[in-house]
Amino acid sequence: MDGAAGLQAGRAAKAAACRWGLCYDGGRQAGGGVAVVAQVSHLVSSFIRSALPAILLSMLLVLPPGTPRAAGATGTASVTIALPAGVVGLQQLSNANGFLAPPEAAFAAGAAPLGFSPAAAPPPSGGLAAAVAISGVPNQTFSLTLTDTLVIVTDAGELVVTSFDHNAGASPTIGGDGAARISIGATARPGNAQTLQQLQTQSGGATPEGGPAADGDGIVEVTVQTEDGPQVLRVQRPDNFGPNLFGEKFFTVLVSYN
Amino acid sequence: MRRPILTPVPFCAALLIAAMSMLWSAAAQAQAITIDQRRDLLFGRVGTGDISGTVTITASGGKTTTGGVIDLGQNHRAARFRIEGPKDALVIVTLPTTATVSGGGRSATLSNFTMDQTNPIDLGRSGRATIDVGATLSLGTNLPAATYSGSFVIYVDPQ
Repeated sequence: MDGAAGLQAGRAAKAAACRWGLCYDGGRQAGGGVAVVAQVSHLVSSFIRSALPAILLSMLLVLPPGTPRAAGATGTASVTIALPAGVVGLQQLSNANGFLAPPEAAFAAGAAPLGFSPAAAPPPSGGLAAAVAISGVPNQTFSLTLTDTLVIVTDAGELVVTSFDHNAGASPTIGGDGAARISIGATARPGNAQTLQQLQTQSGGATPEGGPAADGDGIVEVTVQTEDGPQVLRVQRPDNFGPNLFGEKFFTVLVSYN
Repeated sequence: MRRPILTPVPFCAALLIAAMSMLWSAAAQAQAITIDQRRDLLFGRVGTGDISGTVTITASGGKTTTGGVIDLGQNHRAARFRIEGPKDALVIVTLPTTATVSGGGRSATLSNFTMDQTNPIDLGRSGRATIDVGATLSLGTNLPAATYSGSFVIYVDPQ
């Protein structure tokens, strides 16, 4: 490229630049190629000089949010610690005539007033309702679960005690002082040998494989090692799911908060 | 001689860059991850005695007790948190190691925090996830009857 041609190209570039608003009149170089370089260089510097403040401002706007950030939240936990319910027996349940005497009729706690030592005035039959004291959260309602059936057996015979009931009403509530007293009664009737035999029959069952031999009446054979060699004993297998057969004299009062 | 400093083309370009930056900034703002508690962690009512023990609320809301602690009923439930962030984002939830609840002049320790989801948690197309959190509360002996309360912090980070 000769000098004339280079000068011509430089002028064309300058004219184009001025059409876009970027004019520079300071490059009076003798060579046209040098003029073009100067023009381009000026375009870049002019752009940066004008846009730099906006770019910096944009960076300030963009940087703070950045990419997804970590976050935290505070949770709250709570627990209420309360006084567990306590149950203490105050007065035993009795028909006053001895369990194995003819019970005559039922004795129930429903008619027995609250109180203890003694818990209640003896009904005409001479029986006494049981009395229990309950402690726990003041004004707390609770549920009562009583023994279903109790069978008392002695050498003289048996007595079946059923229909346990209480006088705490449909919605038992611990008092404002954290205490409650209730009376419990039940119905007693004489049992007999037939009843006892029937219960024993019910206690039988299948023998576990590999276990001791047994017959259908709940009698199991147990092999015991003795000095004279193994001896086979026949014993009555207890029934964990049936009524208490042998001298049980206690009933259960279960208290649970609602 | 003309020496313009601010001429139309670079100025418009700068405006364009600024506008794009604003949009980018807004998009970045929308990508922020947040977590909020929606429900408290409630252990309900328990009784204590001469033997220490624990009461646990599982992330699914179950309640169990050990040792001398007796469950006395009342409402109990797991804590619930809501996480929000970019859609389809994967986040990591960090549960606390321990925390303390106090009341009646005594205190008890929360530990073994659990949640019903496994890290990383996918926020899905909705950009949202819910987690339920449980914990174990260790109770000493013969704590006085009172309501014990405290706080704990859960963190969520982008994977």
